[in-house]
Amino acid sequence: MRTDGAREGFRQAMAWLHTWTGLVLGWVLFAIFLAGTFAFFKQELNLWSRPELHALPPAGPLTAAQLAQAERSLNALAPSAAGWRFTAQDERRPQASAFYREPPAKPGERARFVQRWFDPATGEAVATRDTFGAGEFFYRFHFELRSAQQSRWILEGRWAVGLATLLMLVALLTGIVTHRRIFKDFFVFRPKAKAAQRAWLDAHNICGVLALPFYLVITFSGLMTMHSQYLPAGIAAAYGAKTGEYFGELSGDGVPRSRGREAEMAAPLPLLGDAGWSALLRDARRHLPGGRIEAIGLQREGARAVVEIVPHDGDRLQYRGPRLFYDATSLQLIRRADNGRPAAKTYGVLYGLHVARFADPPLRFLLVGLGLLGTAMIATGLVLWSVKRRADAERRKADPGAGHKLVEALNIGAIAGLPIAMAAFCHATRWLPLGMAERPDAEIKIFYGVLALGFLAAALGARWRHLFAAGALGWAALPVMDALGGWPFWQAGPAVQAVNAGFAVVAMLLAVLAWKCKPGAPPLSMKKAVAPPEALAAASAEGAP
Amino acid sequence: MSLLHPLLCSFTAFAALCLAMERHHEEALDHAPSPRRVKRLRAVAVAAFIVSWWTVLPRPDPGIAWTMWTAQLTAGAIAVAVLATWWPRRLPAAAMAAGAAAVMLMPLLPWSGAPAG
Repeated sequence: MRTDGAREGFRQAMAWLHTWTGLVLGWVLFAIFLAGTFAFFKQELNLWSRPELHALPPAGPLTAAQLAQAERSLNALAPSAAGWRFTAQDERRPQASAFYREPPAKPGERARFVQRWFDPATGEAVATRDTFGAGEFFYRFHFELRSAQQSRWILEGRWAVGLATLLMLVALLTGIVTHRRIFKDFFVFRPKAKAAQRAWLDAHNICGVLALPFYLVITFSGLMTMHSQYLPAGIAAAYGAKTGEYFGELSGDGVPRSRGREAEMAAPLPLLGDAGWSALLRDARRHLPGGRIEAIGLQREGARAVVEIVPHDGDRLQYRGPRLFYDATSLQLIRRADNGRPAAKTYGVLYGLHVARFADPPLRFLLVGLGLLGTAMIATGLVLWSVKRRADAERRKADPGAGHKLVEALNIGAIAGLPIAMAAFCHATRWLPLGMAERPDAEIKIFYGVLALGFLAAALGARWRHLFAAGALGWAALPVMDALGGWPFWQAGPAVQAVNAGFAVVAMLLAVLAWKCKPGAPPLSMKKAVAPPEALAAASAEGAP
Repeated sequence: MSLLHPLLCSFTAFAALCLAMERHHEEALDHAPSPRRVKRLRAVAVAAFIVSWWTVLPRPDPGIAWTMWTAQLTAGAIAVAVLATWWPRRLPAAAMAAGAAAVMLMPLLPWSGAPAG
């Protein structure tokens, strides 16, 4: 936007929009992308956070005897629970687990969800530490900037993430317009270019162009997952106050769930036993040919208890496919919930694309790579903003100004500081005293505390290399600590060892970044942007934001 | 095999497209490509893209097939960009090796008629 009133072209206008949408929430976007990338390994990271499970053998295929045993354990643990949801073991979750709602200690408080894992050898529930779980936290931080275990500022967090995502979409589309030589420079990256700005612009462009389909899908589908909060008017107009009906219809199940006190006062849940579960499993497998079963829920619907059978999400693109509902007493199939209507299916596919439950290990690693590339695209864009302004100031032999210094400190604190905080969270899940009250909240406080320390260090003059080096140490310490901390490191299965190896890789990446940022390093580190004028002019002419 | 074969194909395809550009051809082989070579390289690229698509196609869920195809396409392009940036002279040989490996692995693909490998 020009202040002198001269006409500007479409491309310049888009360049302006790209620069400022990118900067305003760039730091939040960076955090969303990085945490979201880690959330592709949510199950594995959650398992890593609970060393009590590491020595357990992996469970075999789901059997009726296993369900009957789990049912007995749950009944002993929470006789008054209004329902539970059992999640079967699969290739990413070596042991089965179950959720149930513990009635509130004091009237007026919200019911608390409790999760228990089952020892495959005995079928009994295992006592695990009270932790948020690293995977769960990165996942929650990714879409609602989660700040406490119980719901606090969740809606606000989702609004902030939604705004950032919207700006991300704007930045992507304006970026395509701004990038004039999208095909000509498709493979062009000149890290040794004389002008630092040229090298950074190349890096930003190449990170942006190569994985553009991934960014467009992940950003748009991310926005869609929260559509009911961001665009409530349509739902309100058609459904009025009965928004529950909308969600029921969206999932293909029109029957509202009974919740809260009314259900808790109802009779205790029936026990199906070996015979009941084996009859149910046989019938469900007949209705879901070739499909695995992911979860089994038992809950009340008015007067009767109902079993819900959920097929595995890894077998299709669409999130939430058809589900079966049985009467828990008569064991008869009551209904099949399935919404194959175009709008609901589109939503399910977009949601499924975003959470990528279908991805087998090679595809999952590929998606993680693309997520890291997106993180790099945002980071290089933020750095480019400050490199360009510093180059401009040096050409005019002027001081870059306080705004520039602020952006640079925020860049260092956000980009190099966040990995340290994430490593700190993983440490906290393991080291905090087990008997501590509100332990998950303490883990989250440590995360935000370390993040704040990173910003403070950047404000006090810490450079990129210091924070990257601290991050590398933090991540490298995780596998070392797992091996030496007295946990069952050697008995742990491949999923836990893969997480440890992944931590080591993250540590190495951060170490390389720290090394690259040492003083006097080549242009892609923070070298002074002294460049011959013609190189800079060429860089600016190509629509640099 | 689920990702390896399409990845080899799309790497070959992107490498051919990359070498069909004057700048990258010069960096790899010290001279500009002839118009005939540009045409041939582009034809190779189109063929390799089609084969890469054919390789991911036979899956129960076509949506997953399309997702995998797009994802591996990106990976192939990244690999070419890395070579073109730091090892441009290795690019032609790497492309030929990947293309040859893709052709040799074709009989092992589950729907090629030969016993599955």
